[in-house]
Amino acid sequence: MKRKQNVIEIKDLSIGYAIKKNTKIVAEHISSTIFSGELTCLLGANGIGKSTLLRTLTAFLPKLSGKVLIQGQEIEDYSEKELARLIGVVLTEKLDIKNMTVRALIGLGRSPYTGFWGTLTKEDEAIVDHAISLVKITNLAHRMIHTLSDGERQKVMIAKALAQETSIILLDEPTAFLDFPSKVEIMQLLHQLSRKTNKTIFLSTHDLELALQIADKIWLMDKENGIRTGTPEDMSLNGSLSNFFARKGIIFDQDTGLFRVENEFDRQVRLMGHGQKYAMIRKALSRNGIMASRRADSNTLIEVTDTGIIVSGQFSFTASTIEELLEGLGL
Amino acid sequence: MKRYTLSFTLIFLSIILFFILNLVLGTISIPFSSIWNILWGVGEESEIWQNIIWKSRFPQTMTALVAGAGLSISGLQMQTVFRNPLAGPSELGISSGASLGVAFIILLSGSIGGTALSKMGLFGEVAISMAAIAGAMAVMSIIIAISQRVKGNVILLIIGVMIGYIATAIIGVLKFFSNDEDVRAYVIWGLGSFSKVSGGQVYTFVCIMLALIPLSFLLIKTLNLMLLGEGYARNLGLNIKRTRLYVITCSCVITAMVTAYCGPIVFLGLAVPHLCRIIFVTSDHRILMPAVTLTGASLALLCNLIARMPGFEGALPINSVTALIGAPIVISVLFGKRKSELS
Repeated sequence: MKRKQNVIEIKDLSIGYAIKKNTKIVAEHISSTIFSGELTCLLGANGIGKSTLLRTLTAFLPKLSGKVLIQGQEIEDYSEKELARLIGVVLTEKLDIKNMTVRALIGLGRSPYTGFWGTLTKEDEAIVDHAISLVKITNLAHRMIHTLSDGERQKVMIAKALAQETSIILLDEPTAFLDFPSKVEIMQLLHQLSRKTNKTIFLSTHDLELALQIADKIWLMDKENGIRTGTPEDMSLNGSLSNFFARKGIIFDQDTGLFRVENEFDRQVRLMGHGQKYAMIRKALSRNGIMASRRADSNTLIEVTDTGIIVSGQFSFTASTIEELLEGLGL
Repeated sequence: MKRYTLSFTLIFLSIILFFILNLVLGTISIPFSSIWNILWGVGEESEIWQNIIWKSRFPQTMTALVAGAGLSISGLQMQTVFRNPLAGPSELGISSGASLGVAFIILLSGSIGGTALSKMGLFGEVAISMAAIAGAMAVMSIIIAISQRVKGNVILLIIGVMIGYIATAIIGVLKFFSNDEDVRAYVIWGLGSFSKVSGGQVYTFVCIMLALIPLSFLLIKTLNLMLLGEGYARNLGLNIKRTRLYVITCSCVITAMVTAYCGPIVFLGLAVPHLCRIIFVTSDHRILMPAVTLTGASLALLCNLIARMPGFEGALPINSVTALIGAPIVISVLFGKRKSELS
């Protein structure tokens, strides 16, 4: 097992935009470390400065003050050529390329290493092949970029970053605009890559649930507390997560370490039964503002049996599906 | 690679064919064997024929060849750098700048100097060329200065179009104060022609272009990276500001030269890159760059040939021909776009 190294160190960093005399500080006093061989996810509300932080870490945007040390050296001391071999990016920029194959695009990831005309050597081709197989897109290699789906294109861009052979990969919202299975696929892919290749992978995302389940470290960014970092589990134990999303309608479930939607209840029913059907009825009732439990103080009783759902008390009927039950209850 | 070889061979053969036809066809028919002798300086051919070939047909053919290649390269560079399929040498206001320079010379010389420049012969031609270069360079400096400050390529393109409007407006005002003869001379310049470049000047023009065209080939890797968009290109080690400066300068100088010597030639720069993308089905500039150079040269020779077809007697302005060929290409590209996106 390779040892984790602190690849990116941030010390008292201020980020923002300096336009002539007007300096707009987006976030300040950021101090943290990003380790190699780990997937780190940056979470925060829209407009909090996630992209600004990423742009600063890719050296697209000069920092306002503080330090960003990459492998022990200040980011500004690297030349453009050196940075191209150190940091690979996947951006939100939409690609608008016609008539270029997936393979050719991934080959462009080799540009920092190729010669004057950008011709790939045998070695370069092998590295491109390896990147393609790591991301498992061998079947896409000869497709044209403009025919790919959003999820496929995102994988191609990750392969491009891999072909670039950088020890750091930064991704700006790689899961945005993807359907749910693709989101999971991309996140798991990135997590596996961080383990397999010992690369430092850092991404911003809005997919909270996925980040809490898949990320090794999370960074929470908000106005009051700046940035807090840790494993998702530590963050839930010390209350950072529940504070962070302390908004109406969201409950942080301390037991599962995940979030769920909070429902307000205006009445209760007694619900008897067990198993998945019991849980599903409870969920459906909860969505409709009814707290269902075995010990509830109510004159309506719902019994879950193998044959059907028997309602007695204020209402009296038998339902075979949850939809019928809800209709019978007048919901 | 094989499929490219065939296309390249065909285009190359078409250049040779059109080149010969340009020399052979004309109001006075000269047998091919005599042309061959004249070109290689052997045999005793009539002096009139020699003059027709050396002073008219050969310079015109050479001009069309290099101008077509140059404009197409310029168009390809602009379309890639601005990531806009409708970018071209005229769209950035470079041609308008050249036109404005020429308008100042042609239209004002009559009103201020007393003699219409159109009657001044060789001196007039040199003055017109210089004015076109000066005008194009002036607009180019503005565009480059702006390109270092504004971020979006679309904004830069809009500014280019705006500069074009301003130039056209000033030309309109100048026309109003000029006499009819000068206006007519200006309009004829504006129609564009490969035949205006006379004997001695043509070799200067060809030499300049033959120096500029290989220079633009040096930007091939850069252009390929620019396809990815600025963010990705920058991450791959490209200095975006410097790249934009190099590519725009290269593209502008070529356009300025061609416009100075041939007048504003429309459509070739816009249409040829699209045509090549259709033929070669690639975005790789290692293929596209030589492809547009050859296709541009071939198409310009063809246009020149059509403009001089028996019956028109050279009366058909080259811009009408390029537009008649170019416009359908641009339209077919826009129509075909949806199809290729689905495939």
